[in-house]
Amino acid sequence: MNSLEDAGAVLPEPGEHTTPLVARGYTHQVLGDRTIVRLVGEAIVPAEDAMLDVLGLEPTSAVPVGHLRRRTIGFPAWPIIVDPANARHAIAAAADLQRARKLVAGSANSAKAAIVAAASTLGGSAPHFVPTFLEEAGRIFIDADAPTYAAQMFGLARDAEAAHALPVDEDRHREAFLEFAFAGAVSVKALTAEARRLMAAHEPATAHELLTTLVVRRIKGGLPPYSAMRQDLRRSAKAAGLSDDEQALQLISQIIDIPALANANAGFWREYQTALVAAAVGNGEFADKLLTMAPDSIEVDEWLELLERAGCLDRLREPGYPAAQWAQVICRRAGAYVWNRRSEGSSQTRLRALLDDPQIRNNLTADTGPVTLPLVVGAGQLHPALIDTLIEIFGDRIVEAPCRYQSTVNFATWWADRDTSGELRHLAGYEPLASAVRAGIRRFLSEHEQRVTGADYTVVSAEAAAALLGCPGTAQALKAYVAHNLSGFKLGEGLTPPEITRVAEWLHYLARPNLAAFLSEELAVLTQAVDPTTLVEHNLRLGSVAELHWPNVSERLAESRANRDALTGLDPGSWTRGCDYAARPTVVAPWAFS
Amino acid sequence: MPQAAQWIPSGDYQLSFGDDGKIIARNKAGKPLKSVPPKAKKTEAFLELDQLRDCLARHDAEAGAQVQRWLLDGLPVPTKLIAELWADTSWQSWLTDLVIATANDDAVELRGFLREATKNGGGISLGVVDLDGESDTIDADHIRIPHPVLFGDDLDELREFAVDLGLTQRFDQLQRQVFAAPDSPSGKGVNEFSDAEYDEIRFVAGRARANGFAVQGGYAVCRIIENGYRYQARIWIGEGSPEEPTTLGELIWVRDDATLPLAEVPPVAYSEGMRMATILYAGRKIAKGSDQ
Repeated sequence: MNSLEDAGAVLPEPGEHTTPLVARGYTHQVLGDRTIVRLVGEAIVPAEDAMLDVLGLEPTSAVPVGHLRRRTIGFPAWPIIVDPANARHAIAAAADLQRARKLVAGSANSAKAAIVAAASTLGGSAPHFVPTFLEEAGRIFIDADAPTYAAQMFGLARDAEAAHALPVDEDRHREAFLEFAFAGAVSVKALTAEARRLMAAHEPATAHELLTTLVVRRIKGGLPPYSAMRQDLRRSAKAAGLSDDEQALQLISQIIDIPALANANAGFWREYQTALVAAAVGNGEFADKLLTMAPDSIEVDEWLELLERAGCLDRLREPGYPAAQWAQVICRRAGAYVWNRRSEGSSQTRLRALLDDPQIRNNLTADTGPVTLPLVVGAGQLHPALIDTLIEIFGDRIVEAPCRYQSTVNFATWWADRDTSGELRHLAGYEPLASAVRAGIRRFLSEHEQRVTGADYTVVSAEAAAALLGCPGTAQALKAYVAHNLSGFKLGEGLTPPEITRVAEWLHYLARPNLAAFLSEELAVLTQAVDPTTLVEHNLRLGSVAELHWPNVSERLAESRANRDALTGLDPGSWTRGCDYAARPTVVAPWAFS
Repeated sequence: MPQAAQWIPSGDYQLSFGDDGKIIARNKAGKPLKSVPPKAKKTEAFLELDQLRDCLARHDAEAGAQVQRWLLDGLPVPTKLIAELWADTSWQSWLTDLVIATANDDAVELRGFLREATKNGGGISLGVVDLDGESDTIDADHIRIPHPVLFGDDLDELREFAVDLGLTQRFDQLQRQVFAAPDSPSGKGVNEFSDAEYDEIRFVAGRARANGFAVQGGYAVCRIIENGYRYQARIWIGEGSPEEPTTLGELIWVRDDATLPLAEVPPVAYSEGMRMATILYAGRKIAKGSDQ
């Protein structure tokens, strides 16, 4: 597009495909002096006048203001222009549409009933107007966010074409079909029905061509492939005597560049796997295109499998290949949170192995440009060992993808295959992830807690504690976690009882001798900050167990409970309701005094 | 000033439009009523007025949408056309106080805030308040309504100036949210909106439509013409049954069906795409509580 005419500008001189534009003034008895100015193509002025006349608007002026590109026109302008003799039927039907527009906000169903009745009347007098009338009705439903009704209108329009044996202009039909498809008003069933209609109405070769055009246009417009597409195309190709593999290959070459394809479902990638592989083998350009994609709908491992078969992974190994670009793409996919994903907590071993491949690693480190990775935002989805490897490879080149919330490193996946997960030293030292690592450690501790027999606190399991200490990266992370948790207190001034309560909330997990020995430095400061006298005083003020047996305590308790139950209207019989949770003594891990 | 609305008879009552555009009634004695009596609502005259009201509201929205197209597509608008539209208070309200420019060859010159359009004899003149605060007239054949991102560093000054002069635009040219492209953009899309979740696709699709964006397939789409090319900014909002949960996807820019590298996206297309994404993002589901 290069001209102002195509852009829709109002031109001073006529262009190749323009129509004169008129500023048409209207007045209405009720509006006094107020003028309504409508911009109308000269040819449509009679239709506009007729439509507005229904509302009592009278034309007062018409001033030519320039020239405008001709546009496709809807109902009732189209029937009024093509068949002026029957204009009055179109105007009457247009008034019905106005009424339906009013009804649709309240009840789509009653609007539909009104339209179907009007369509039947119109069918009696001017059947060739019915399809455009129903399509216009469909647009009302699209505007009202009722795509299923719009789909029904579109279906009825097709029925009317068949019932009245009206000729179908395929180009106009396809535009309308796509318009409704883009508005979500064409079901998968309707798509398959359209494929069958094309086959019935045309020579097999033409039908296949028309269907292919429709499918490609649909994807170009932003819709992912529909689920029965492969079957429909196979059927029409077979009827046209074409090789199925050949047509699938041709289609895939046409659509591989289209962004909406990234949103295709898993079924599409499976059904077209053979075609994708065939297209990529021996065609470096196509293989490179696959390397810029990583669809959300299929698992990373499955996608890597496809890339392998298509020879794309070998391309990554070619000396000098810009593999860092691909690393960004695949890591974005691996770090993306996908709703309802099956592989939550995947070990991502295949991807890790690829990054460790010496040839690929050479290509990854050859470049020095920045690499955008979702290490923070994808911390929950990426395996800690994968994060560690990526930091090792890219180091200072990493630009973090934006992250608006607190993410958490998922140590559960590390726990599952900790023996092969390496030392994680890079992970622990990577500043942008510090808070996600701390959150991960905290979650890991609580997921591996065990109740201590005879006490009312939990500690991390012996196995988990040993694993944490056994891996240099997690050990370092644990130290950092404890140091960070204590950094908010002025330990030199001693801790107050509420502060001790806050420390106890997480400290109890670590009540194991080997952990205490490892964390001795941090805990030594803590032990000094806890003054036993303060604690004893505090606990005494809360009361001792013996006090609860004193007769006057029981009396007061019964009294206050009765008062409270009277206030809240509860049955005074229940013993548990009398417990005052706020007065529960603070529990401090016993070894803190040792 | 146009003469105020007139009364039309409807049975025992008379009907008209109130100042806020709602239908009002008065009785035979000419006494205004608090609400339109049910009896009067059942008349032909009322139905006609009700439809006229809808028609005027649509007309007003269409006028606003057309002004937006002129702005987004950077199209020249004939002065003659402006003068004709000025007679309609709807069009006038959208056009008043817009910052307009005249263009000769490729040089675009900001001329000031549009205050009036008058036809005198065969000639037409547009009255503006120029950037020195002086009244001026423009007798060019056509004008342009530039996109605010093109004002660059002058935008803040223009905003302040408009406030100082007490000018208010109905169309948000100066107050429109603008986004400057990053200095050295890389990649083919913007992913920073992808943490926005919605309980149902139709919530985000409805938000897109209500803000004037097209919903096409699984994308919310904003169309722009810039430097003679058509661009679409598209953000994935999910596809399928309208009741399904969804998240925002990548924001991309498309020209001739091909996704553009960010470095090739021109300023208005970039700004408008980001604006669309920001508007949709603001309607996301806000999580109640989190891990921490």
